[in-house]
Order: sequence, then structure tokens, then C-alpha cells
Amino acid sequence: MYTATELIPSVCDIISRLLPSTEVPLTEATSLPRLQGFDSLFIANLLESLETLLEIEIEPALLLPEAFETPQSVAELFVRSQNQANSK
Amino acid sequence: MWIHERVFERAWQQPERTAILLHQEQWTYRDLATKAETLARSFLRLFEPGTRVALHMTKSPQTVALMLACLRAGMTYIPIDPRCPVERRDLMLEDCQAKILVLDKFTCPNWCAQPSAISSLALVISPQKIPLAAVTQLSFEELLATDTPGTEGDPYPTIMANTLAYLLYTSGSTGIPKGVQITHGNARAFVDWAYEQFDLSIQDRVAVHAPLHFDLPVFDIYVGLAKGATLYLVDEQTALFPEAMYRFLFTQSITVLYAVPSALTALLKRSSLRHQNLPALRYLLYAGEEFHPVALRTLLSKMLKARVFNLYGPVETNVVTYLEIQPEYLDLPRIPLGHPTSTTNLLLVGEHLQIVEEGEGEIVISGPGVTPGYLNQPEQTEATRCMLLVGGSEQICYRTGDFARRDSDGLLHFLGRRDSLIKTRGFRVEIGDVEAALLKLTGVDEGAVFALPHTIYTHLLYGFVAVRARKNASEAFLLQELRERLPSYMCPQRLFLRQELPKTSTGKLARRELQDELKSLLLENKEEVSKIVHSN
Repeated sequence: MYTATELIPSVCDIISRLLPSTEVPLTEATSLPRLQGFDSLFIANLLESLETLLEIEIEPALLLPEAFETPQSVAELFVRSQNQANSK
Repeated sequence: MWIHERVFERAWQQPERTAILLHQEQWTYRDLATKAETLARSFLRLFEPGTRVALHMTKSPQTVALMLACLRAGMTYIPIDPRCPVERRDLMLEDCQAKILVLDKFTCPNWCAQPSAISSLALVISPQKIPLAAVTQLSFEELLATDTPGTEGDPYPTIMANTLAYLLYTSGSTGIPKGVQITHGNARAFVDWAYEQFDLSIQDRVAVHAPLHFDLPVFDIYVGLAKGATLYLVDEQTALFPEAMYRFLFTQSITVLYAVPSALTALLKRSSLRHQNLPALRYLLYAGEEFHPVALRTLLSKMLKARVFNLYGPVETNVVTYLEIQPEYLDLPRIPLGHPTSTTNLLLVGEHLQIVEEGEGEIVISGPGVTPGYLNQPEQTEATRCMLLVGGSEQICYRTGDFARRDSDGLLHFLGRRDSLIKTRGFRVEIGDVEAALLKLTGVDEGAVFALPHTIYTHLLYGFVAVRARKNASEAFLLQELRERLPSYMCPQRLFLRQELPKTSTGKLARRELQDELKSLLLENKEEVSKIVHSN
């Protein structure tokens, strides 16, 4: 079990690897849609990387724009999925 | 009838029906036709027919009205990708010599932050003033207000088949985007065929999914509106997220969808379509890249009553072949291209341009749909042309660069390409365009780009650069710089830095060696390579 706060560094690491940038380091509140390179392929790669790392598959119904606003919201998406999986 | 005339004629037959919807904004056919004609008259009061109008805008009813207005006024519109990097955007604007530039709330801030002095500009229509000197600036409302009473009788210019209707920019092999000129005659050839082929009606709800700088929306807008259907504009956020797209299609009961296979595959894998279906969909059209038969079979099972069509054709000709998907095609390794459309003369030619009746050859097109060429690039235009005897007369033909086989039933099967133009996520990319951009990066001496086949995205790009002159160079620095020059779909997934790139004995870049190295590098990362199709 992990919390969103614990997940944020991993989320930021993966984003930095997928969209290498020398801009100000990513924080939990960085706006992802404003990053250059934020496109369908980036979203798919980010999801796949996190799903592999955390060994969890996100329900499609949760994959909405608001879940990809910031590293914080991405982490919360995975925590929500983890909690749903555990409650089943 | 020209493509815009079909729309205006329909508009005055059913003025109160809804023409376009975007979120809460709803325009009737009367709204659309009235605004488009007012804009056309306003433009004509300020500029001559033939003027070029750059539309740096997101999808909206206003954008569609402006497109129709330009056609009505005999002017040429140029849709520019709203997310296009500044340098590339300016290259296009300088190339097309647009006199009028139209911005919206989304693109205006870019111009405020990074103003560019485009030499040809005379009028900017923008929701707020941008820092451009010596250029008249008006808001959309101010422009509409210039249509004063008493001027309604202004005659519209006569449109000819060779009058330029719109310009669509595509990747160019030399690093300069190519402006594909589409005349009214070209556009009409496609719309006339599609109008007859697809029995859309006023009951239909057509999703405008692809960006407007693509050629797919030509069908949605001009055929959809000519048939009296309602257009449902898909905003960028919705198009980006498969689940949002699924909900949009489901809740709006969309009946007609025209999209690229990458987007449809994403819908299948990453939306509730996995467990649900789209019962309202009547027509699913796809184009832009190949659809893997396995994914297509799954998708078909979700479309309870939809007829599915594979449409093929480069932007230079729009659709030239079509195929209604039948179950037997799903057992083939590749979905066939189909048969030529009624307005297309399609030939297969051999290496010496000899016509191949049965067997394999390059697809060559003639007929009213073929572009007159690339703007300001006569050599590039010439390189894609050949003269062939068609129906007893010599005709200028467009060489697609795509190879196909015609089977004994006359069905065309795609085989591959002859050059370095590739597809990724439905976008067309010239490898040379990306390599040219790499060479502009600070300190980069050499660059090589490879496209590896991919089961979902058709291809993914990877690059190597030699950075002898640049100390402290990093992949992050270079990719960031590259993303400021190229749209994201043209940027390689990874950029591998080297002191120098390997050469053959004749001093050329050893591409085979680099490609082998790339495959080894990617194999080290099993996740990354899992969907890459291994080929020679």
C-alpha cells in the first residue's frame, strides 16, 4: 500500500524520463498539459510505465483529463485504483 | 456545385436545424451561413479575392464559419496547428504570405508572449491586441460589424476549378514544411464522391475528431453539412483521452466518426469501450495509417450496426481508394486498400514508369483530385510528378511513393513505401524533416533518425546525434530544444548522444549499423520494445 505523497517522486521521475526537460524541476503541482510534448503518446507511455512499476491496471473509466492535470493527480489516480483493487 | 455552395444551399433549406455544437455553444444553419457570408463580405471589402487567410485557431464554430467565408470570398484558408512551435508556425506563415491572421483565446497568448513580425500580414483578427506594429487589429465582433447595411449586395467572386481553396501544411524532407495547395476543383472531386458514397442524412451526428489542419475534417465539415447533419466538434482534451472520447461518442449518440487507427485503437484499449459498445454509430471511417487486423476485428465487435470503411489517399489527392470492411479481410495480414473512388484514375507503375495491369507497382494518381503542387516548392512538386498516357491522352500524374499490388479481383493491397516518409499516429513525417531540425540544435554536428514499426502508433521515432562541439550536452537539453522547433509527434522518443556517428567506407552515415545499435539499445528495455514490430 502506498500513499499519493509516496508515489509523487516516482511519477515525477517517469515524467522526466518520458519528457526530458531542463526547465524548473517537476513538482507535485506542475501543470502537465502545459508541458511541451504532452500528447496521446506521452499519456499512454506514462500510464504503461506506472502500471508496470506498480503492477496495477487502471480502470479505463478513471482515465479522464482531470487525472492528468499534475503529478499529484496522477499519483492520486493510482492510489484510488490501488484502494479499489484492495477492496474487491 | 463547389463544396461551400453545397453547404450554403443546405443552410437555406433548413435554417433552424442545428449545424454545429461545441460544449454549450450551438449554431443553427442560419447562424453559420449568416456569419460566414458576413465575414466573406467583410473580407472582400478589405482585400482582393485570392488573399490568404491563416487560421491559427482551435476547433470552434467560428473556425468553421471562417473556412466557409474564405471559400465564399474566393480566398484561401490555411489552418495552422494551434500547438505548433513558434519557429515552424512562422515558417508556414512566411511561406504562404498570409495577409490575414485569425487567432482565438487559445492561440492569442502565444502571440502575446512570442510575437513574430510576419512580413505579409495586414490584418489580425484576435480576441485581444497582440504586440505587432503596423498591422490593423480587430476582434471577431468588430470585423462582423464592418458589414454595414447597404452593402449586402456585394457580389462574390466567380470560383474556378483552379481557384485555391485551402493550403494544408505537411512535413517536408528538407526541413521546410510543404504547403499542399488544394483547389476548389480538387476539393470538389473528393466531396462529390463522398457525398454520393455515404448516405448521411439530417438525422446524423458527425463527430469532427481530427484536427482541422488534417485533411480528414474536409469530409466531416463539407459532406456532413452538405447532407444537413449536425457537427459535434471534439475539443483537444476530449480527443486526447480515450475515456473522455468514448463518453462523448456515447452520450452524444454520434452516428458518424472518421478518425485515424491510432486513436481508435486507444479507444479500444483505454476506454470503457472495452466493456461497452457504441450502438448509435452508423459509419466508422478510418484513414491516415494501416489498421492492424486483430485490433480492427475487436473494434468491429463493438460497433453493433456500423459500416466500417478504410479510406486511403495522401493529402495531395485526398481519398483515392476505399474499402468497406468485410469479415474475410480480417483474416489477411494487412487490410486491403480497396478500389479507386469514382473521381480517381489510379495506376500502378513499375520502376521505369511502365503501367502495370496486374501485379505490383507504385500508386500513381491522376484526375481532378490531384493538387497542383506544393506552394513555392517547384522542385518538390516536380519530384512527385510524371506524365502518363491515361485513357488515350497524356496526363500529369501524382506519384504517391506508396507501393501496392492489384489482385485478380482488382482489389489493391498496400505493400510499403519507396522513400523515407513515415506515418506515426496518423501524422505524416519526413525523416529528413526531423534530421534537418536535429542539425539546427546548438552544437549538433550530425544527426540520424530512425522510425521503428509499432503495432499501435504505426511508427515511433528514435535519433542519434553527434555532439562533438557541445560540452555538457544532454538528451534532456536537446529534446527540449527540439520540441521548441517541431510538433511533438515529430520528436524522437529518445535521442542517443555520441561523439561521432559511424560511417561507411565511402564516408556516408552507416545507417544500418546505427539501426542495429538502436535495436540493441531498445532491447535492453523490454517494456519499451514490447510493441515494436521487429523487422529487417
